[in-house]
Amino acid sequence: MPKPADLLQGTLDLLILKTVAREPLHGWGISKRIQLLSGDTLSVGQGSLYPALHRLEHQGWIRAEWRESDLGRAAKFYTLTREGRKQLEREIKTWDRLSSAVRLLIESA
Amino acid sequence: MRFARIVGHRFRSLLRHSRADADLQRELDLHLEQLTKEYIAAGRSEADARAAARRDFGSLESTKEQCRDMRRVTVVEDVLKDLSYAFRLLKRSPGFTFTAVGSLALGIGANTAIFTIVSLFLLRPLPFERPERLVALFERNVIGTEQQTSVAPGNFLNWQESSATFESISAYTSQALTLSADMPGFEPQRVMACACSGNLFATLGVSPLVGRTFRADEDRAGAPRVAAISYDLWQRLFGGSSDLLGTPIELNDQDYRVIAVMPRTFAFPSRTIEVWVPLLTMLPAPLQIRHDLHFLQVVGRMRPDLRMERAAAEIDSISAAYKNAHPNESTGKGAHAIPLHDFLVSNVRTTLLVLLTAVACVLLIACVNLANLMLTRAVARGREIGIRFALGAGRGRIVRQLVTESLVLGLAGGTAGAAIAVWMVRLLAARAPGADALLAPGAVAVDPMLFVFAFGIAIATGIAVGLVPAVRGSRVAATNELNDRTRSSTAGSATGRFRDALVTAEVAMSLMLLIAAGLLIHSLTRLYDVQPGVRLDHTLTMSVSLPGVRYPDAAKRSALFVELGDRLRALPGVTSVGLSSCTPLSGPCNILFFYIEGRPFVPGSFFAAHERSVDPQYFAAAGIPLLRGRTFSRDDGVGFDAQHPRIGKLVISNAMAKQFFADGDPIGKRIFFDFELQRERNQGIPAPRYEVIGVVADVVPMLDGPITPTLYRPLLDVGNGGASILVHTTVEPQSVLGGVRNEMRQIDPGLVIAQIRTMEDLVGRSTADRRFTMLLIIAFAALAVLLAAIGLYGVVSYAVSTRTAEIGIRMALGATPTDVSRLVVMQGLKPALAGIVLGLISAGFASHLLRSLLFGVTPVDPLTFVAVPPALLAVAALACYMPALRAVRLDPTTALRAE
Repeated sequence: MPKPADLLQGTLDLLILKTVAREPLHGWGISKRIQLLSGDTLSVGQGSLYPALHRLEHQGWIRAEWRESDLGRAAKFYTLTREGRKQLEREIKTWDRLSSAVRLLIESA
Repeated sequence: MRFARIVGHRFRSLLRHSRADADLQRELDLHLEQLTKEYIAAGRSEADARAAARRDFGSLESTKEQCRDMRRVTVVEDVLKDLSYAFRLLKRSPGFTFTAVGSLALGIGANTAIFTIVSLFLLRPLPFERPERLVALFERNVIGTEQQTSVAPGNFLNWQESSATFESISAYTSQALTLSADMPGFEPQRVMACACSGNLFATLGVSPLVGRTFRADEDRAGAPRVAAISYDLWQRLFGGSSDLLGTPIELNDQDYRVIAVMPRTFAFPSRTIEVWVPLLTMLPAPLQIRHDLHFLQVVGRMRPDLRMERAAAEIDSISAAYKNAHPNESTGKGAHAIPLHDFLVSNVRTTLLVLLTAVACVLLIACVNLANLMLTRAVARGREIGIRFALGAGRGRIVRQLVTESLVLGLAGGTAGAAIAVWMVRLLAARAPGADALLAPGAVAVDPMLFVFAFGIAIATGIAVGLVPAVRGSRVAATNELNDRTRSSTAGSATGRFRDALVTAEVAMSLMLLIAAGLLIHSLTRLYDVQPGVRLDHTLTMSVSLPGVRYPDAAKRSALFVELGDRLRALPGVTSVGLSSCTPLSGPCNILFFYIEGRPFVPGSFFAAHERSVDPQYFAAAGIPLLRGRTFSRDDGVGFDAQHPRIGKLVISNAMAKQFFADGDPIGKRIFFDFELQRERNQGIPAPRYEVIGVVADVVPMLDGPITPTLYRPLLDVGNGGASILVHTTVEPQSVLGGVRNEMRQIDPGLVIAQIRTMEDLVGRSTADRRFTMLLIIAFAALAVLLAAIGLYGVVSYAVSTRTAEIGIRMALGATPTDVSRLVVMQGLKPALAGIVLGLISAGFASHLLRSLLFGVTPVDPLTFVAVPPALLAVAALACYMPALRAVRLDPTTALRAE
C-alpha cells in the first residue's frame, strides 16, 4: 500500500464536512470513510482528525451527540448543521477554484 | 441560532469541563479500540495488537490537549488554572513569595511616590493662565558677580514703567505681620503676608474666589488700605462667612479692609501666605526710590510669541538708559530672566532627580532580584517543566504558566506598592524640600494616575521578570532535562553565568546608591562641623515687631529696644540679651554699598558688604569675639538727628577688614554709604561718615554659605519696625520664655513675638532639607543593599544545593570545612567583586550629578569611595557565608546519596 498523501492545508475541513453531509458519523467512521472513498489515497491521522472535529463543532458547523452505534456501544456522532452546509458549499467553491487554478498552471506551464 | 449553540457549547465546556474531558476520553478510547480490533482481525495477538494501535495512534495526551485547545474558552480556563496553580506554588514557598512581593512593593511604592512628587513639582504646569509666558526676573551683576539678586524697588518701578515686552510685570515680597480684628474672642496673631504689586493676580491670571482684585489706584502710597486673604484664613477666622467683604482688620496696627478671598489652591508665592496687600501701601516712600536695597521678587507675563532673551535684553537697555540719565547713582545693571516654573523648582530639581534616579535603581534591583529568584526556581523546576513537555504541553502554554506566576507576584507587589505610595506621597508632600513653595494646601490629593502608574510598573515588571526565565526554562528540551538530572555535579554554565551577571548588576547599583548616601552623610557631618561663629547652646531667639503707629521714629524705637534689653537681662537665668536686625544663620540680611574715605572717589564704583544692625550687647549675647578695638556703647546710637551730620560708628567683620583694609589698621578708617550720598544729592541732607571702631570674628550668614564681608551698624540708630532678640541663658532656654512674654506685656501689650526657637533648633531647621534628602537616599541605599544581599544569598544557596554531590565527593576525598566554605564563598564573591568594581567606576561618573547637594566634599570624595566598597563587600561575604555554612555541615554520605 503506497503511503497516503499528506492533506493539503485546509482541505481536512472540506473532507470532514463532505463526509458527514451524507449521514451522521462518529470519528472512527469518518476516518474510515475518507480512506475508503479516496481509494486509500487519503488518510487522516487521528492526531489531526479529533482536534479538527472539535474545532468544527466549536464553530457550530457540526453538532455532536452520543448515540448507539454499529460498533456495539455508544459513540459520539457528528451531524452537519445548516450553517455547516453553507460552509461546505463555500469550501467546495474554494476548492474548485484552487484545483482548476492548479490544473491550469500544470497544463500551461 | 448558531450563535446560541456556540455560546451554549462554550459554556458547557467551560463549566463542565470534567464531563467534557470524560467525553473526549471515551471518544478517543473508542477509536483506539477499533484500531486494536483491526490488528486482531489481521491475525495479531491481543497484546501485540494493542501496542501496535497505541503506536499508530501517537500521543493520546497530545491529541487531547489539542482538542481542548480547539475550544477557545481554554484561554479563560487556562488562566484560571494557571492562577490557582500559581497561588498554590506561592503558598508553598512563603519565604520566596514574601521576598518577591516585599521587594517589588517597596520598589514600586517608592517609585510611584517619588514620581508623583516629581510630576507635581516638575512636570505639572503651574496652576496659572498660560504659565509658559510667566518669567521670573532678577537683577544681575549687583555685587560684581553674575549671581542673581532680588530686585531693588527703584529698579523695579523703572522696569514696570518702561517695559514693552511684558503685558504686565509685578513685584512681591513676604513678611510676617500682626493680624488683629475688632471681633469677640479674636486674639492678635502673626500671619505671613505677601506685599505685592496690585496687578500680581492679573499677571498670574488668577481670580479671587470671592470679591475683586486690587485696583490700580489701590497700589499707591497713601491709598485706602485693602487686603485679600487666603481660603484657609477665611475658614479659620471668619468661618467661611460670605458677608466678610469690607470687614475691617488690622495689620501691624494699620486699618485694612478685606476685599477678596483667594481660591484654596492659590499658593503663590508660598502656601504659608495668608494675606496679600498692595506693595506700595506697605513701602515707605523713601524706600520706593532706592536702587540699592534688593528685596523684591519680580514676575512678568510676556507678550505672546516673544522669546525670553528679548525681555532680558530690553531690561538691560532700560537700565542702561537710566544709568545714562543718572550717571552718579547706583542703578541696576540689567536682568536675568528665567521661566517662573524653573525659578520655583530651582531648589528642588536636583534633589528630585537624584531621588528619582535612586528609586529607579531600587526598582531595577528589585526586578533583577525577582528575575534571579524566578530563574533559580525555573531551573530548579526544570524536571517539572520537562515532564509537562513530555505530557504534551506546548511551549507557549508553559511560558504562559510561568508568566502568570510572575504576574501574580507583580500584581500583589503593585497593590502593596500603591498602599506604600499613598503613605509616602503624604509624607513627601508635607515634608519634601520646596513643598511649601510649590504645593497648595489640598492640592496634594493622590492622583488616580498614580495607581495606573503603580499597576503599569507592576504588570510590566511581572511580564519582563517572568518572560526571561520562562523562555529560558522552556527552551530546555524535555528529553535533555529528564536525562540530565540523573547525576548533576555542576550547575549548568550558561544559566549560571546569566545569574552571575544579574548579581553583578545588583551589586553595582547598590554600590552607586551607597556612594551617594555616603557623600550626603559626609556632607552633613561637614555641615555640622562648620564653626558658625555664634554660640548655639543655651540661646533662645525670637522676633518682635513694633506697631508702627506707636513707634514712628528712631528715638521711640531706640528707647523701647533699650528698655526691652534691660528688662530681659534682669530675668533670672538670663546672662545676656542682644538685639539685631536679623536672626543669625538665617541667611544674608541686607546688602549696602559704600565708599571708603581717603580713597579715590569714583561715583558708581562702590564696594558692597552685608549689613546687620545690632545693639551694644549683641556680640556678647551671640558669643562673637571682639578681635580689635571696641564694640558699640549706648552713646554710639542715641540722639541721631538727620539734619546734623556727625560721625557714626561701625563694627566690621574680620573678612571685611581683610578684604577692604588689608594694608593697615582698619580702626579709625571712615566710610560713607551710597544711599546716603544719593539722599545728599536729591534732598540736600549731607551723607554722614561712619568710623570703624572695632573688628569682630566672622559669622557665616547661613550654615552652608560662605563667609562674606559684613558690617554692623548700631541698631539704636537705624533700627526699624522690628528686631530679632537673642537671649543667652544659664538654664534650659525655653524655660525663660514665660518671663520674657511677661516682661513684653508689661512694656507694651501690643508687641507680638514670633518665631521662638532655640539656636540649636534653628540650625536643625536650616539643615532639615539636607537631612531629609539624606535619610531618603540612605533608606533607598539600605533597601538596595538588602535586596542585592538576598539575591546573592539566593544564587549561592542554589549553587550549593546543585553541587551537593560534588561537595560530598570533595569532603570524602579529604577536603576540610575551610576548603569547602572557601570554595562556596569565592564562587559567590566573584560576581559581587565585579559588581563593586563596575559600581565604583559608574559612581565616579555619576556622582557629579550630586554636586549641588554636597557641602564640603567633592563628588569623588576619597573617604566615601574608600570606605563604602569594603562595607558592601562584607555584606556580600556574609550573604555568601550563610549558604557556605550549610554546605560545610553536610554529611558526606548523605551528600553523595543526594538526588
